[in-house]
Amino acid sequence: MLADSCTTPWNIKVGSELVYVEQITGGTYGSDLVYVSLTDTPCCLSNIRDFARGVGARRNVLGVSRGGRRKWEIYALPRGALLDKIVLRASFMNSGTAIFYLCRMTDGAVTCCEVDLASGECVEALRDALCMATAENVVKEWWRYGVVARVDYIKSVMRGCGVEPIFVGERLRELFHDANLALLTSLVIDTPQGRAISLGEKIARVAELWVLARVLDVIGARALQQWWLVEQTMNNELAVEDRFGRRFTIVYQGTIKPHILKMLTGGEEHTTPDIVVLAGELRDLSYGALGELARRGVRPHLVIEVKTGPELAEWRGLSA
Amino acid sequence: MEGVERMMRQVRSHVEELRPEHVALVALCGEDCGKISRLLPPGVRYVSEQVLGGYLREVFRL
Repeated sequence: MLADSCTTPWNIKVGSELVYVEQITGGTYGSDLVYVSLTDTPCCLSNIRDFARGVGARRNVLGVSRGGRRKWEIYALPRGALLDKIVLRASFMNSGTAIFYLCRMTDGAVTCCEVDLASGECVEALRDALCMATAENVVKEWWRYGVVARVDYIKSVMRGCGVEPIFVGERLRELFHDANLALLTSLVIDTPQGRAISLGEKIARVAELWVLARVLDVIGARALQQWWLVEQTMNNELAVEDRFGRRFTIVYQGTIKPHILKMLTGGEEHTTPDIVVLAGELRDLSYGALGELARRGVRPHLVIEVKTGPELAEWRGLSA
Repeated sequence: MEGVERMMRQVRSHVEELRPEHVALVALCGEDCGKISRLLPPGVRYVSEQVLGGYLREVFRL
C-alpha cells in the first residue's frame, strides 16, 4: 500500500440494507473494474459480475457506449456480502494509466487504499490472486514466449547501440517499463476474450521489437541518433550504421499509404509491415512515406512480418 | 481460415507495393506456424526463430 493513499471510493456506496457497486467495463482506458475475494478461496478474486450472481444480487446496466464496447453497470448487493471480503478496484484513467486499490468494508464504510504498483511483490501477489485468469492458455503463452526476458533483451540491445527507445502509448510504455505490470493490467480485464486480445497484442509487440532488436544485434548496429520514438504507424525512423560502416534506416510498423487514403478506404486494407529496413540514412519520413519511397524506386532491403501463436489462433484450423 | 487469408493478402500487398529485395515471415509460434509456410506468396521466406540469426547474416551478407 502507498502511505496516505486511503480514500472512500466513488463507486462503492453503503446503504441501510444494500451495498451499491458501480463498474465500468470495456478495455483498459477509462474503465473501473471491481473484483471481490471468493468465500471458499480467499486468495482468489472474482469479478463483481460473477460474485453478485453468486449472492443473488441485482444488476442494472446504467449505460452503454456507442458501439457497445463500454458499459456502466451497478450491482445492488446485500449489505453483509462485502463484509470481511477483500475488494480490488482496478481503475484506469482515460490516458490508460492504471491505479489499483485494495478496499475493505467495516462498520458500514468502505475504505480503499492505493496499491504500490512499483512494487514487484504487490504486482505478483495481485496477478496470482486473479487465479482463474492466470490459468488461461494465453497466459501460458506469455510465459512460454519469455516476454520479460525478451523485453530485457530489446532494451539492452537498443541501449548497446547507443539509442534510448521512447515507447509511445500507455500500454506499450507500460509493457517495456514493467512487463509484469503489463501482464496484470491484461489479466484484470473482465472477460476472457478481452484478456486474450490484450495479451495477444502485447505478445505481438514484444515479438516484433525482439526481431527488430535481433536485426540490430546481428549487424552490430550503432545508432546515428540518441532517441527513437517507438510508435506504430508514425514512420519514426531509426538510422543505424553496421559494423562495416554501411548505413540503414529501420521503420517499425510504418505506413505505406497517405492518411487520406486510409480514411477513404476505411483502413481495411491499409496494413503496416512490421519491420522495414532501407539502405542508407533517411530522415523525416512522414505518414505514408514508405509508399512514396517505393514510387520513387527506393526498394527496401528487407521487409519482415512477425507472427506469434496467439495472433494465429485461427491458423490452428490448418491442422484439420 | 479467414485470418490466414487476410494475413496472406497483407503480405502480398506489402510485397507488391514496396517491392523489397528480401521479404521474410518470422514466425514465433512453434510447430503450428510451420504449416503456413506452404501458403506464403512467392519470394517470401519462412523463417523460424531458430534460424533467424543465420537468415539475417545471409541477407546482410555478413
